[in-house]
Order: sequence, then structure tokens, then C-alpha cells
Amino acid sequence: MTLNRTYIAVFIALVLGFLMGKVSAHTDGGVVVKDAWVREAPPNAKVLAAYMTIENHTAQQKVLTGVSSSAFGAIEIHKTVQKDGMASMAPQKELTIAAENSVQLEPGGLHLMLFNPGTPLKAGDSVTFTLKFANGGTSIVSAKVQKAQAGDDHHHHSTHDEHKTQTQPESENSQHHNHQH
Amino acid sequence: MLKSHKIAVLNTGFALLLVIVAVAVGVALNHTATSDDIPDALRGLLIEQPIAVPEFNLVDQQNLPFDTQRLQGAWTFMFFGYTHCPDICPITLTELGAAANRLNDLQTPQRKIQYVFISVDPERDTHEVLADYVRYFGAQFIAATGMVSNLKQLTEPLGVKFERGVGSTTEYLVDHSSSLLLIDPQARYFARFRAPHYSEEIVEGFKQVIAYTERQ
Repeated sequence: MTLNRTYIAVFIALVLGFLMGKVSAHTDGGVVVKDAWVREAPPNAKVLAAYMTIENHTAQQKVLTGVSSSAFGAIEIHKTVQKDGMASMAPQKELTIAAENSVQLEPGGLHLMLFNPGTPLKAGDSVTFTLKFANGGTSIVSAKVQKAQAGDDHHHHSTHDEHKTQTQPESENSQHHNHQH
Repeated sequence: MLKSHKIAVLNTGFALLLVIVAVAVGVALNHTATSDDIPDALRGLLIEQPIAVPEFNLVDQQNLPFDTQRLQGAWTFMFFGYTHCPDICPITLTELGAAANRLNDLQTPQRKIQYVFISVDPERDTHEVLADYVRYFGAQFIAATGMVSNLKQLTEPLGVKFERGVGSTTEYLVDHSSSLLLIDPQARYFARFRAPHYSEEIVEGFKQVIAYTERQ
């Protein structure tokens, strides 16, 4: 009986751990960051890109003013812009997430440009980012390095469950633990 | 009298034949000129008047010359970018690499296909850097670059643009055309895929293009 209870306790702990691991980061400031990932790049790449969904569950707008990580020399917020057949990247000084809203950093659009990785990053590695907001709040985000496959970068072609949930920001924090994957 | 009549009939017959042939040739020429037979799937993909790729001299990732000669005898997919481009360039090379794997079956000695990444950032993208970079996306990739003036010999006549953008001397961005060019085995700029690029669209588009050209 005691043994059974131990098994159950271990099982519950594992399930909880698994569920918590699926939610990238939580902050007390009402900002939730989900589906954060870093695009694996060729080993000699001097710049990489990171993507994530930043949700603002508060009644006030949040302004992301900077991102830092010990894994990179510098990080900027960029947006890939396609105009008249030309691709260019527009650095963004800050990123505003409206009240009760979310912003998606996704391939071909907004992304974090990661300069000068300290060591080459491979798929499966984890990187920690610190997001800084205008009100002084910060958010710690853990992102997995992933090798993108063809089709991953286009939402209407996406088959990744992880990416599908991005377009539906949830309004209740409590729902995050029920996040289906 | 009878003999000359015979000749006259023969002449008339010959003249008639000439007229028929002339009309047929005229119709055929006119037909291709109006390009009525371009399948719908190819509209917007084919360059209306294929542009002969001019003489240019670049260097590939093995430090070998990459010039107009290298475009002869193979279909060439050509994309312009640079290695300090973390988003659109790897996205495109990933899609193109996947397309290349699927197009492998279509390769024959008569129908070769090659995939070329041209760096428009020669200052940072040496041939060594390019070698390591494109290898990641697939062994089939060729990478090439050259001095800006040499690059422009290739890009300007094809309407491809690139321009160094904001940044410092070492950290800067480069704006570049995002289209994927398809060059035919006679080294003519033949078709253009507009961004965003999807491997399925590249594969289907290429199949349509070769079906169309091999029917001509």
C-alpha cells in the first residue's frame, strides 16, 4: 500500500514535471512566453534567430525593451520585411504587447537576432533568455534549439503541434497547465 | 501542249504546298509568340522573354571559378543572400534543400539540376565561410561570391538587387532580392519563384517548367 502510494506520488510528480516543462516560462507580471525556440544554424553561423509567443495577460500594455542571454554577444529584436521583391530586416527598438493580447515572433517575421554565439549550438541544446520590459519587470525564458525542417516555417503548412497553439492566446492563466500537446 | 499543261499543274501544286507550309509555319510562330499554350500554373513563374545570363566571374566555395560556363547544361536554382541572415536565408535554403531531395528522381544525364547560393556579402562571406555554411543545408549546394562589382555583372541584368543596410563596420544588414531564380541549361534566366518559398511549390513549379520546355 505504501509502495503503491509512493508509485502514485512519483507518477504525479512526473506528470506535473512534464506539464510544467511544456510551458516555457512563467512570470508574476502576467506575461507568459510560449513555444520559444532557437533555429539551429550551420556551426560557423555568427547570427541565429529565436522565435516565441509573448502573451500579455494584464490590463496594461507591456513593452519589451531588450533581451539578453549569456549564450550570445548581443541580441536585437528584428522584423523580416518583404517589399517589392526585396527582403530586409528592420531592427525594432521595442515591442509592444497590447493588454490581454499576444505577439508572435515567427519565421519570416518578427524574431530575435542572436549575435555571436559563445559556442556552436546544436539541436537539443537549451538557451536561457531574459526579457526586459519597460516597467522594470523581467521574464526568464528557456528555449530549445531545433533544426527546422521544410514546412516548419510556414504556419499554413505546419504539422507541428507545438506551433498550432500559437494563434490562440488564452485569457486564463490556469489554462496553461492543461495545455494540450 | 500536254506536257506544258502537266508542268503548269505541277507548278500550281507546288505553289499550293508552299502556301500551306508557309501558313503552318506562320501559325506555329505566331502561336509561340502569343504564348497561348503556357499552362496556367506557369503564368507568373516564367520570365516572358528569357534573359541570357551575361558573362560574370565569381568564386565558389572550393575557390574554383564560378562563371557563365557553370550554368551551361544544367538547370540552376539560384538564391541570393548572406550568412549573417538568420531568418529568411536559412528558411529558403531549408525549403530548397527539401525540394532538391524530392527533385533527385528527375535528374538524368540529360537533365541535370544544380542549386546555388550567391552571397551578396563578400566582405564577411569568404569561400571557406560559405563552404561550412551551405554544407549544413545539403551536399548538393554550390555557394559562390565575388567582389561587389563582379556580383553586379550578374545581378543587375537579371533585376536582382542587394544593398548594404544599417549597422556598424562589422555588424550590418544586407537587403537582398528574395526571389528564387531558375536558369535553364542554355544559361537563360527562365523562371522566378517569389518569396515566401515552399518546397512543394518549388518542386511542382519545376516539374511544370520542364514539362513545358520538353514539349516545345
